[in-house]
Amino acid sequence: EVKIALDTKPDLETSGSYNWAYAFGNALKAAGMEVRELPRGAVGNEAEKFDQVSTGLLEVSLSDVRAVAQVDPFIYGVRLPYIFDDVAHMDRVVAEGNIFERVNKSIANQDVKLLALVPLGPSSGIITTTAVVRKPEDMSDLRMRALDDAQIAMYRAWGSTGTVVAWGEVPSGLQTGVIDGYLNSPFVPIMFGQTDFVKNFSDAGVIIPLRAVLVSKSWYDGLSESDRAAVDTAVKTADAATRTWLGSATNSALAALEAKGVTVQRLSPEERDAFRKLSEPVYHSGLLPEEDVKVWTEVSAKTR
Amino acid sequence: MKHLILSLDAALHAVARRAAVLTLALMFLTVMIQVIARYAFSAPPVWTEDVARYMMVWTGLLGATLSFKARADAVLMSSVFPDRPHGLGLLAEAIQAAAVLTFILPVLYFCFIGLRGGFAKGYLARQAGLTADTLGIPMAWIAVIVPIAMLVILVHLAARWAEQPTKFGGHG
Amino acid sequence: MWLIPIIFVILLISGTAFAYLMGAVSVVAFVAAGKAQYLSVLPQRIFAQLDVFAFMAMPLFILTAEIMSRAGVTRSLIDFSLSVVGRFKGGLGHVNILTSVFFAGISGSAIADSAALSRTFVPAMEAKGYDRYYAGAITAASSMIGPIIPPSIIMIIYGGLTGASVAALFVAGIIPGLLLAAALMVLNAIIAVLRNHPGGSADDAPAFLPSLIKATPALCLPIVILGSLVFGLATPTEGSAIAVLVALIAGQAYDGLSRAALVDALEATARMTGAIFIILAAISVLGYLAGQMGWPSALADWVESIGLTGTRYLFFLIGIFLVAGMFMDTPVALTLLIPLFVPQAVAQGIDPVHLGIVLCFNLCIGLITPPLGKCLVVVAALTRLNYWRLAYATLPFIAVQVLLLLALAYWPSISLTLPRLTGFSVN
Ligand code: NA
Ligand code: NA
Repeated sequence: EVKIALDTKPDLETSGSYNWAYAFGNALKAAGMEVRELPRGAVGNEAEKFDQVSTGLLEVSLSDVRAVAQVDPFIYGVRLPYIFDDVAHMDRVVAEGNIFERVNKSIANQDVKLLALVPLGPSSGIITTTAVVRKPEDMSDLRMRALDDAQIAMYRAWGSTGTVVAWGEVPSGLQTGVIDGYLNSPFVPIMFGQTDFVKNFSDAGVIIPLRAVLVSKSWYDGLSESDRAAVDTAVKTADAATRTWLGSATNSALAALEAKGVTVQRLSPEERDAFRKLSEPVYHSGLLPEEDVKVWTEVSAKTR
Repeated sequence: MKHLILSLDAALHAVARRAAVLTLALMFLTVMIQVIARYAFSAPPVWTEDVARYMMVWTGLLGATLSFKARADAVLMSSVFPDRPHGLGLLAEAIQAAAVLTFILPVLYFCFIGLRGGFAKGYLARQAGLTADTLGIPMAWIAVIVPIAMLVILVHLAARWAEQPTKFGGHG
Repeated sequence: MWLIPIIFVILLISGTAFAYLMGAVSVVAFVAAGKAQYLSVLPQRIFAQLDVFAFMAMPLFILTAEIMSRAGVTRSLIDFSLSVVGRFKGGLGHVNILTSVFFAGISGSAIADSAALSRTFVPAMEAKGYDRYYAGAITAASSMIGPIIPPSIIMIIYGGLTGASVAALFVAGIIPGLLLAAALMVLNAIIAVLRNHPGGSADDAPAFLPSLIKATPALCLPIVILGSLVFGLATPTEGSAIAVLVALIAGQAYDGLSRAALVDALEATARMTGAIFIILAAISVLGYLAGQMGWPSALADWVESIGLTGTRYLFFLIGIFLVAGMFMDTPVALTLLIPLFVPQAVAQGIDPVHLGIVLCFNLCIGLITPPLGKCLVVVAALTRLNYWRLAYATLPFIAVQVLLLLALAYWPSISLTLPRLTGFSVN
């Protein structure tokens, strides 16, 4: 039995990672394998999912990219602002840079294998309670929730301020003004029911929010040749299905936000460039080693 | 043997008390730094949230040993049996000890030994391969509190038996 | 599998601590279910399930209460309450309740309230001629005001689990908390007449103005703590650290705190936290087995199949949470039950903030309901009262609280008017 630990509600409309899991599971079933979806949280949080994949108790997990970065920060390259123009560009970078090969070499020690990078939804924009953001200067008075040093550095580079708030406290933080906003995919305020107090989304396209599909290496290596071929094919099928979904999701996400009363700022390429230019110094904030940054930026430039 | 257990027990308890006071104080200070840094610095430190949480886990697990030692753990029902040295009291305490061991021993075992791969793949060994990314240290240094707390509770349990001579003449 | 209930009962009647009882039963259940290899997740499970930011409010609020009692802050609140309601018949009972109201504005934990106040009130009331079990019962019952009036640990946990705004929950708790205090005072007044309780005479009560002046720093604490949350200085969990800070500062206006007393407060807090955390750790093991076996979704499906909707579903939930509150620790019951039932309730149009107030109130009643009423345990242990006699003496208070609970469930506006007026988005 192949257990797939989900990271979101099983909703084909709003969740890119569920689109992936759904297509992957169906492809495996078609190949005669037994598949079971485990709801989000059923086998624990991110740290627990990773640990169970690593012990072989769990076969497949849709995991935070951070889970991989805890072994080797190289993967954080996908979190560099504006490193990818779009998902197609990301796919070219991943292929050209042999990214999977590299990552899998460093996480093999944990008995874990990276099978896919899945867009969770359309590119992340700037989500705020009251401020309307079209250019970096609009953010000078804002305090934004940051995930890591790199995001703190990014907000600083944009002339804004970052601060640390636990994800569980983001809703009350937004309502009381501890924070004025955060960076995420447009579906996130809808998924978490925040549209009563989140009033603006600025489509700045900063990063592609990603999930890492991790599988147990001992499970994968122990598969028969035909089963392994079926899994590899299922990955391709699921990757394609997610990208098809993403094509329509970008527009539907923004429309869904507007339907919930959230103002959407659609930025022109020139307006996005203002953010992009200011973000460059962030690449050297220490999120990942300089030589890793070089790998990512070179392949990214080459495949633009 | 009895003397050894009791003095080890006392020493561990003394260390656990001091450590718990320290981790709790650090947790409080870290949360305060997080609040103040938000308004005082344009680039506040990101490690505060992680450190505060880890200090809380340490406080809680060290506190669990203090609570075990003080017999302050919540019970649903006090024992229906008479107290030791009555035979039934001895039985009740033996049952309690069996419950503690049933819970603690598997935790301890799997801290050091993995399902596959033995010692090299135990919980601590797996955590040694992960880095707490805001701190830059291996997660094993943080997670090690789990086996520490379990071991201290085991010693406290042994001391409970060593404290009172049983009517069977042994010292537990 | 049939062995498990037998083991449970044997452990229960032998007086095994709840944490180790649950832990042992869960481990045996894994083996019986043929999933022994999954026991290898235990160390990671225990660490991960305790590693939750919102849980930090627990130790911090307990620490706040420990500091206040040791620095004389609590004493000044009692004196002030005495000057306000001490002169009436059953006066010390009213004082007990009113002190809990002031205490509630600072602390977010009923356990902290009953631990801090029982050692003072039970002997004092007994000396004035009250039955000591009545004194213990009213102390335990009024400690429930603590987590209803903000700040509140359980609301922080509820908010963390459901995504409901903790700030809105806090505002929503104010009126139910004050109503609870009023209801308990009415009951105390009635019992005072029936049992001819001593009426503190006017000369028993300290003069109003001096005790008000003395209590002013203590009375300002709730304003500082709530202000830090409402004005967005700190998140609710961080607010519990602010409570510790202001208790330390205010303590200087009273007896102050020696280094030894501070260390003592920290150690007592760590011990109480440990007693809660080891239970959380043990329950998380059972929770993992439940997740593996798909019990939560099966239960949720079953509830859905009965087809209860709207208010009837809410009353059904109240029943479940009342029973759960009797057996389980509050944070444990929250983490176990909220993910199961709340999404469905919200989908049926019940406002998450209203639901939060009802369920938190609901679980708090469990704190003073046998067999495992944590506040009863604390009061009984600290004042050397018999647990079951104390539980019996608490029954009238439980009855009043259940009535108020039903009213809160039936009229959402009791909870939601204040958040609506202060601009939170609620139904
Ligand atoms: Na409170
Ligand atoms: Na009270």
